[in-house]
This record gives sequence, C-alpha cells and structure tokens, in this order.
Amino acid sequence: MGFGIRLTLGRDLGGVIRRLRCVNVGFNVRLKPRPRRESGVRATDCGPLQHKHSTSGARIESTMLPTRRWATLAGVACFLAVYAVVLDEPTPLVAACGLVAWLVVAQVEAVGAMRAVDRDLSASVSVEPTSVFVGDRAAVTLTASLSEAVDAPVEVELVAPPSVNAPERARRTVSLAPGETEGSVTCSVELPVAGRIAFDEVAVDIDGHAGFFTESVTLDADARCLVEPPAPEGIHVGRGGELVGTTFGDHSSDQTGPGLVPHETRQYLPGDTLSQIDWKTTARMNHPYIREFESESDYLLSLVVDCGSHMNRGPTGRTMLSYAREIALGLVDAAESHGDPVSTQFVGDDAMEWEFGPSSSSNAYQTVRRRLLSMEPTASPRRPVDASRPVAPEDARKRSRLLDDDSAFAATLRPYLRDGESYVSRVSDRPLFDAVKSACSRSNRQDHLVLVTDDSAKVETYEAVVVASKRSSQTSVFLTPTTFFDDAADAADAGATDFAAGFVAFEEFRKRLERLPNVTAYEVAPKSAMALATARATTAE
Amino acid sequence: METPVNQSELTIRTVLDANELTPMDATGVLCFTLAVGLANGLWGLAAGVLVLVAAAATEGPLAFVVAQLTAVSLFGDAGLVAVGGAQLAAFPLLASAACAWPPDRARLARLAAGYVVALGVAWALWSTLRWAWQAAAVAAVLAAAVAYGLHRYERVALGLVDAPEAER
Repeated sequence: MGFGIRLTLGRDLGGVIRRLRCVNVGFNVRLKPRPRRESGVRATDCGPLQHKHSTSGARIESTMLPTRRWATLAGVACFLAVYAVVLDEPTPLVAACGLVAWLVVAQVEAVGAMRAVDRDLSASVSVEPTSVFVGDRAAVTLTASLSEAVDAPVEVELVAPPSVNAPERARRTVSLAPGETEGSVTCSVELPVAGRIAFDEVAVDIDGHAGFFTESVTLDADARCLVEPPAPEGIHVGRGGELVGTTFGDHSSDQTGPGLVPHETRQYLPGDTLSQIDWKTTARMNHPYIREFESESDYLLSLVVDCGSHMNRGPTGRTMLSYAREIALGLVDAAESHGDPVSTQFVGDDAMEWEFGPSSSSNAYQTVRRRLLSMEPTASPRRPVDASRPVAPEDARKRSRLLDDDSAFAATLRPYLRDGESYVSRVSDRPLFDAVKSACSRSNRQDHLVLVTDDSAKVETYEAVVVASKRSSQTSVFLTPTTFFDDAADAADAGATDFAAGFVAFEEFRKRLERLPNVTAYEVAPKSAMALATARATTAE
Repeated sequence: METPVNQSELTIRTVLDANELTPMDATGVLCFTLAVGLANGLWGLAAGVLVLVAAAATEGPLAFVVAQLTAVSLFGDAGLVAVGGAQLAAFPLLASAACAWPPDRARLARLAAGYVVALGVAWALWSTLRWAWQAAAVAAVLAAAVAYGLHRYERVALGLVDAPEAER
C-alpha cells in the first residue's frame, strides 16, 4: 500500500504538463512510496489458543510449582517425622503421614484443575487498529472463556512485548474466580517503537484450591499490530487546490545546437557556418545541406530547503518539514535519473545550515538524500508568523501615514517607515533570501531553482523568488500552507472561518508568486487538510 | 470465611473474629478432648483446652499439629486403639484446615481416604520395620515418590513431555 506522485516540471513550469515524452527539459518528481495508515478498524483475532499437543504447533510452557504454604506444611511433616525418630514413638510419624496425605490430596486436586483448564480454556487477543503510527495507542482486548467452570482461580494475563508501554498487570489480566466461565479485559497500550509488534503470548496462572500449588502456563497468540514510523499521510501537490497531473517525462530537449544526436537535415540558409554543412548530403543532393543535432542539456537543480523552526508545525512525523522533505527527495531522485547536477542548501532560522554542490556524482545524490532524511528543524523556539519580519514598502508607507501625530514615538518611527531602502537591506539579511541569491549567482548555465518553504514569511519569500525569477531559468516554489498545520486546524468546527481565511490568503500569495516571470508556485499539503480547506472555502463562498 | 485482621488493633476479640471457629473445628476439638480425656483424665481435658486455644487463635493446620504433639505426650505407652482413636478424633481439625466451611463432600471424602491410607501405611511401617528412622525414611521416600508420580502424570496429561522422552 503506498502512493506515488509523478510530477513533471517543464522549463515553463507554468502548469502545462507535457505529454508522455516531453520535448522539454523536465524533472520527474517522484514522491517515494510510504506506508499508509489503513483506514478502518480490523481486529486480528488469534482465535482459541492451541496447545503444544494440538496440530497448530502453538507453544505451551508450564511449570507447576509448590508454594510457600506447601513448603511450610511439608516442613512441619518433616519435623514430626524427625520427632518420631528422636522419641521413638509412632504418634508423630502418624501425624506427619496425615499432613502428607493432605498435601497429596491437594496435589491430586491441583492436577485435576490444571487438566480442566488445559482442556476447557480458550483465549483470544485482538488489536484495534492493526496499523498505527509510532507513539499512537492501540486497544488490545483479551477474552478468556472456560467451556466448564473449574474449582480453582484462573488468571489470564496479556503478556506485552518489551517495546510496548502497557498498563500494570491488573489492568491486562482476566481473573476468573472458581465457578466463573468467561471474562474479558481491554487495555490501551502505547506503541513507541516502529515495527511489527506481536502480542504472541498469554500467561495463564492457576492456583490450586488449597493454595499449595500454582501453575504458570504460557500460550501462543497471534495478534499483530503494524507500527509505522511517522510519515506524511498523503501529499497533495497542486496549484490552487487542483492536483498537478501525473506523467512521466524523459529528459530531452527540442532545441538544436552542438550535440551528438542528429535532429534533422535542412537546406543551407544564409548565416549558417561552414562547419554545419553536411558534405555527404550536399554531394548527393547537389545543394548545400546543413545537419543539425539536438542540443544537450546540462540542467542544474538548485534546491533550497527551508528548515527553520517554523517548519516544525504539525503533529510528530507529519510536520511541514516532513512534507518539504518528501518533495525534496522526489526532486533529487528525478535529478539522479537524468544525471543532472544538484546543489542543495538548507536554510535555518538565522543562517545557512548546510550547503552542498553542485555535483552529479552518485555519492552526491546519496549525500543529499541522507542529509534530507536526517534534516531537522532549527532548534530555536518557533518564531511567530510574520514576527520580526520585514515590512513591504507599501505597507511601510501606509504605516508612516498613520503616524500623523507629533509624539516622540511617531517622530522616532517615521523615518524608518518612510525609508524604502532599509526594507531591501533588511530582507537581504535574511538567510532564505541570501541562500536563493547565492544559488542564483553560482550558476552560469541553465538551471532550475526549487525553493521549498512555507508561507509564514511572505515578504522574505516573495523577494527571494523575485531574485530567482530574474537570475534563474526557471523557478519552482513549493509552499506548505501554515494554516493547515496550526493546532486550530485540527478542531472540527472551531476556527473554521480562520482556517478558510488562512487558505485564501495563502492562495493569494501563491498566485502573486506565479505572476512573476518563469515562476511556478505549488502548494504542498496533506490531502485531507486540502480537501477540508476546499470544502470550507466553498462553504464560505 | 476469613476476615482480614487489622494489625494495629490486634486484640483477642479481633483474632477470634478473624479465625472464626467453624463447626468442623468444634467437632475436632470436642472429639479430641473426649478421646484424650477418657484416656488421661484431667490432663486430657487440659490438652483439649490447649487445642481449642490453638484452633481459635491460629489458622491452618496448627491446631492439628498441637493436637498431635499433646497426643505424643499423653499416649506414650498406649496401644493401637488409643492412638488410632486420637488420630481419628484429630481428623476434623485437619479437615477444617483443608476445606472451607461448608466443606465440599468430594474433597472431604478424598481427604478422609488419604488420611486413613496414610495412617495405615504409617502404622504398617512402624510395625514391620525395626527402627524408627527406617520407618520415617521409608515414609518420606513413599511420599516423595507419590508426589513425583503426580508431577509426571500432570506433565504427560498436559502434553508437555516430548515424544522421545515419553517413549523412554
């Protein structure tokens, strides 16, 4: 179970998804298949427990042990026997034999009870849901039943695997008092470790009636739960709520120029150089002909990934950074499949976190992939959206007009707000802007700059994309809407208006970016949140 | 039948309430007192009182053990009838410890049968073997053999013995 999105980004990434064999420079973005959480609830029932002697081959381990009470009574019997020897009197020996008779009778009864339990007990374990993410909880139900009541207390305990945080023993144990035939218990367990967790053991404790013997039986069960590492559940990559179509592209070019692959032969036109003349064709056709070749593309992928602390929004494993990581991994895969060089920059809150490339060696792709997988958001506390962010010139001018009084506060602030140049200088200090500028200046050939970030710093992002649109052949911006990852977005109805308004603002920003030349902006979001936003926006309209 | 005793309020009353005397205890004390009283007079009555105190103040088979120890003191040179009568009289004390009140008849019958067999075996050993230690040793070996046999029976009955081991 998995999904994959293949997205071809053409040179004019303006939204035209090319045909199967693109005649344009393209990138295949393939989101790696991830295990998806199964919807719905399915119980895995191990069925009645089978014992070793049954055909199922399930295991049963048993140890019948005397208790301290038995040891005490046996000690008294021994004392009486020794006393009889010392006194040379038969009476203590008779008393000892009486006690031994009691012990033997108790053992006979215990064996009978254990045989009855072995014959009549059936237990089943079920887990709901059968597939969860790390850190989630699952409900484990243990049901024990006896076809006939036995004259001994029976406790059936769910044995939790070591990797599970289970409640104390009493809350996962079914206690059947003498005469009871059925019991059930459901406990909630936390699953902090990824993997296939097997609840494959049930421990049965049987106490003999007089308390002289106890038996512990371990039986096999077969309830399993798949615990998956946290991962984005379903990624929507699209524009304006519309999914970008899926297609495969081949990295080729429709331009002619220096190359090895022949493209066409045409008649000589004024301006063609002598070196382009195909002399064989010219001799055959008795007219000068030119042979053209497909130009080879050397397309640099400049990947700028924002890993600031603000990308840490969202539940564990499904943060904005997780979605950004998936996109970046897909781009790296695409670049590797075409042999395109890759340069990568991770941008933190205050500075560039990591820089690599450009390189097209196999190690380079592995390095980038490894760093992407281990990428963590900057550890500094979350910065509030748009806090301490530069103000756009028009906003600054508006604010300066509001400061129409003659107070000291207004007099101090007015020069700063009127000064448009300071805005540019402040943006240039921001790491994201700096990284994009650096990536654009590095390349002196055809390149494709991909910026993966969110919409929390609109001004900074916009100015960075402006720079990229001027200096890069094409620019793709993948934005994760902040409003989808706020806690309020989880509420069913609370904040529905804010949620819709947040999405509308995001969409306006995305369209604003797309109005820039050679820029395509995509939204990257959970599918479920995207569907919810679309529905709410429709309702609001 | 047992009531938890609050250790902080350990009085005669609370102890007696916790170790409530059952009709089986009363029967045992009465029978034993009669048996030893008839044979030993006042000393027998005193032994009966001692057993009564043990039955009221303790739980489990301690009253039975006390009865046996007093019987040793009082029936030093007594014959088979006196000793056997005292042992049978003490049986209700053992049954009281082994069975809750009201007792399960099947369990009581099994215990009685086992007790009679044990008495018979003990007396037979004492009569046939020359030395006391031999009788005690043989009785211990017999008890261990029976217990081990039951243990093996349990493992075979539950299917816990592998086939090769079972064949051996």
